[in-house]
Amino acid sequence: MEIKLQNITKIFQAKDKTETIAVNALDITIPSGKLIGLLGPSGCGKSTTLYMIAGLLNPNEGRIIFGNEDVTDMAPEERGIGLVFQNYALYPHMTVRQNIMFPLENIKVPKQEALVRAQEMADLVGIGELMERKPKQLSGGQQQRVAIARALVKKPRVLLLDEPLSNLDARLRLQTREEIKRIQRETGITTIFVTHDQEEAMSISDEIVLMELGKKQQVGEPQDVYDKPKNLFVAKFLGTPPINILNGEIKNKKIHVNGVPIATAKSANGEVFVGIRPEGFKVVEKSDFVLSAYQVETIGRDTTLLVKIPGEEETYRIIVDAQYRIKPGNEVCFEVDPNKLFLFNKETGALLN
Amino acid sequence: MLEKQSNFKAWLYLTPTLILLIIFTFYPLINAFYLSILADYKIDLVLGPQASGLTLQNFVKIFKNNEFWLAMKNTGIIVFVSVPISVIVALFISVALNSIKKFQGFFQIVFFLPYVTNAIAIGMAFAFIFHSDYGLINLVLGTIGIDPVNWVGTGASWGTAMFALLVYTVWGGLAFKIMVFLSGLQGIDKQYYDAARVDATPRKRVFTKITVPLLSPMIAYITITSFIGAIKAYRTIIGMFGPSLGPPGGDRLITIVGLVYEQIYAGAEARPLAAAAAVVLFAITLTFTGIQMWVSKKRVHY
Repeated sequence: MEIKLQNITKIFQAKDKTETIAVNALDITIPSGKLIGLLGPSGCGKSTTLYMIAGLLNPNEGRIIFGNEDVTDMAPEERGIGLVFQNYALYPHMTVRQNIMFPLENIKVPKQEALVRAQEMADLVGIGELMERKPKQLSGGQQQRVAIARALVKKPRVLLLDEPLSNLDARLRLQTREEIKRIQRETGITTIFVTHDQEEAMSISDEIVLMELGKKQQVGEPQDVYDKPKNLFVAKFLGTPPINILNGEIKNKKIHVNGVPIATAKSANGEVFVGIRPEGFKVVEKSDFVLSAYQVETIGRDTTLLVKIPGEEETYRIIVDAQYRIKPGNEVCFEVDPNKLFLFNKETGALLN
Repeated sequence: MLEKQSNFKAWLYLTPTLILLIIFTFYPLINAFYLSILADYKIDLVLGPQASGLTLQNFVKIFKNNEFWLAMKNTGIIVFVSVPISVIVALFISVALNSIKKFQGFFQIVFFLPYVTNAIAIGMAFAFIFHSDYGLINLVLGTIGIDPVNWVGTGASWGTAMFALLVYTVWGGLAFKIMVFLSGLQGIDKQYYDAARVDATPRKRVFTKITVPLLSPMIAYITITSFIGAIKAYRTIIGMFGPSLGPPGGDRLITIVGLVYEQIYAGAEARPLAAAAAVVLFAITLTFTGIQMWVSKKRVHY
């Protein structure tokens, strides 16, 4: 089922009457049966958006539409959503089975059917043999699965997950995100999850919605957003190590960084931010773009060079093939891959060219 | 060596507390047990306290005493009626308090006031509320056409006096319970309620399946301490009826602690009886607490 957010605005009012615009005129269409990642730094309004879709918060303005049905004024329980909370909110006094059956008991599903459905769901998420345990006797990853099973057991139209991986350790996180992807694919349910971790969002989402300061920044398939960031924020938010942002100047169709021409450009003359992905540098025999590596991080697959550019305070990271065997202090000549280079307006941060 | 030294320090720091405990808790406790099994206890003006030997006769005497059984009955009723009612009422009031936003602080103060008010003063106020001529209760009853009831006045029956006492006991016990429950409720993660809402949980089920189980440690704590407190009931009766421990000329509402107290001042010979009654009270309290701990181990979710 497709979900449409139309011009959604949420304003929180503090006790002293100061207002915070958490979500600002948000317009998103979430395609049916897809896994969507709502991504952004903390405080960008992504969780608020999720809770508005769930119905636990009401937007000040705008409509929320599930399929053809306007659900804006509906209570959460009428919307047909399954929600997985950040810390799972499993009832600690109930066993796994009781937790999963709880939503079914609320809507008076016959006991026998409820037992069967709970077991099916538990098997789907891979905790079928832990049904008699209490949440405290489970690992974080297992608790997460119980929470997903509880959210899915009543066959909701939408599955919402709030920071589903943030409480897990690094290894479990990898495992669980595959698991979420698998469950979503097997059930085919439209799923929206919130995360501040770009890697997590990019790795499993069919589409990502990138937000900042309550506003939508860019929507699209992860690779498209990565390859064609609409603005400086998007470019900086995606990718590890992050994109290198340099001060540059365009003179006579050439991009100059620190006075050295590094690539050609079609944009008009003037000062710009030059964004180059760490993997966008190519080591060459000879060029004008020479940088000195002051530190070299080897991980085997490739090598990360830490470089300083005269006149810039930041440290930049360049990923090069491991074959080059560059040592700290070496001067290296680079060419820049034009597909990995972006120019941004210095005032607005918008993508140029 | 190191361990020994730190052990010594630990004992050193504990010494002041231990000395106080020994003088004011352990010694009286042991002494009460000892006193309860002394035969022919009396105080000689020259030789001091005297006894002819050890005996269990004091217990036999206590168990044959009608006053003791009246005290047992009164105490039992206070315990088994006032505690469950006040726990349940406090639970509902705190859930209601927790769910309102406006005036929450105001009502919290109102409900907590009895706790910081003198029990004797409240007892006297209640005695007046139940006064047969000027009391609020009879005034209200009068408006719906019920004749004045002699609740606690001269010659009042045991039943009406006990009713008034129970109302007072329940009310007096609410404040602390509400405070504990309220802080417990505020400690429950709001997400449980959001989760329940998303899952279309009826309100009654939210209360019985989520609130009560999550509050069960508080409920167990309050129930056990209230039981112990109610078994020791005395202050409330003094507050309401004065040293006669009952309405003037009527049946007495004496409790076990009241009995112990009266026996202590009934002359030296009665003191072993007071001690025996206290030991019985101790055994009862211990048994009940044991049962409750055992039950709560099975029913309480920490």
